[in-house]
Amino acid sequence: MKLQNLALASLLIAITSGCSLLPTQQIEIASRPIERNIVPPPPVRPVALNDIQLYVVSEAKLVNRCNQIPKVDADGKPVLKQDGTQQTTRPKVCDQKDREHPDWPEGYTKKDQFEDIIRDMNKGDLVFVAMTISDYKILTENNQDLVRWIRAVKAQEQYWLDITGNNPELEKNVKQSLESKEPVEEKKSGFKLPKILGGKDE
Amino acid sequence: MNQLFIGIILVLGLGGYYLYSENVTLKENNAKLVIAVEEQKQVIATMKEDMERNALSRDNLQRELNSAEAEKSRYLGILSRHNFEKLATVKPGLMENRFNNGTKELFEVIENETAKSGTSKSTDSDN
Repeated sequence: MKLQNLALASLLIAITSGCSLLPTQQIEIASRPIERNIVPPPPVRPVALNDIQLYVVSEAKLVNRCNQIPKVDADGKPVLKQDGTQQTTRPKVCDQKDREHPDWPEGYTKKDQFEDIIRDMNKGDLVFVAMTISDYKILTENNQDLVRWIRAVKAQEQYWLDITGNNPELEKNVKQSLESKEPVEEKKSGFKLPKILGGKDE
Repeated sequence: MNQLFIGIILVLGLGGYYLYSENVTLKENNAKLVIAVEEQKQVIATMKEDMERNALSRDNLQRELNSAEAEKSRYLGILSRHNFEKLATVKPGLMENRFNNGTKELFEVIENETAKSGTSKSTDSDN
């Protein structure tokens, strides 16, 4: 009977005390920082482009100017510059042999020149790839869109480098920005309430 | 009577020991919680730094993207403003020089853009 009463009393105490008599569980906190180790991939080899030669062809006549000749005054004496060298002039009328391009026949056009250049390149054959002006415009627009895309991709690459902490310049800016956002500490007044009146120790 | 006192002393002694051991546990817990709070503060500081870095990086990215779009629009504006057909018919030599110079410039832009490596310290794979 006594044992029963004791057991009942123990049970009653355990229930009414909300298990507070049970031993306190120790808190185990284990935090370990994980170092980010994102190594950017090596840059891709840049493109190397070769120059090309475009020809604009029309039936406009090419200007074949006369060669420059020494300038003379009315007495037939040479006219000199300030530095003592002889002045030159370009006559408007001259023989074909006295022109800049004596091999160009009269009325030589850009189209004729283009054909001669192509025939020289291709052992007398006239063969070339042609493009209209409007297609050239389209090609230029396409190229500009490619440039835009390349720039955007480069910007994205830089973005990933930035957010993974691989841009020292940006890291400086981040620190400066964070410092500027830090709250300013309030200035403490010199007055201090005595401890006996509820003042706190420093 | 003595037995009662001995009983009381025993109960008080056991109770005191129990409270002491509880106190030790609570002190340990308190120390751990202080460390946890410090760690949380560091985590918050890191998160703030990450947020700031992300914001600045995003701003830079947006600026670069806008710049690329603006540059393209500028070139398209040049193309739309001029009557190339007429100019090429009348002055083919002049337009030929402009087209060739423009193409050369475009190639240089592409070469320069692809040659720009980021600010990383990674090695060049040009081999």
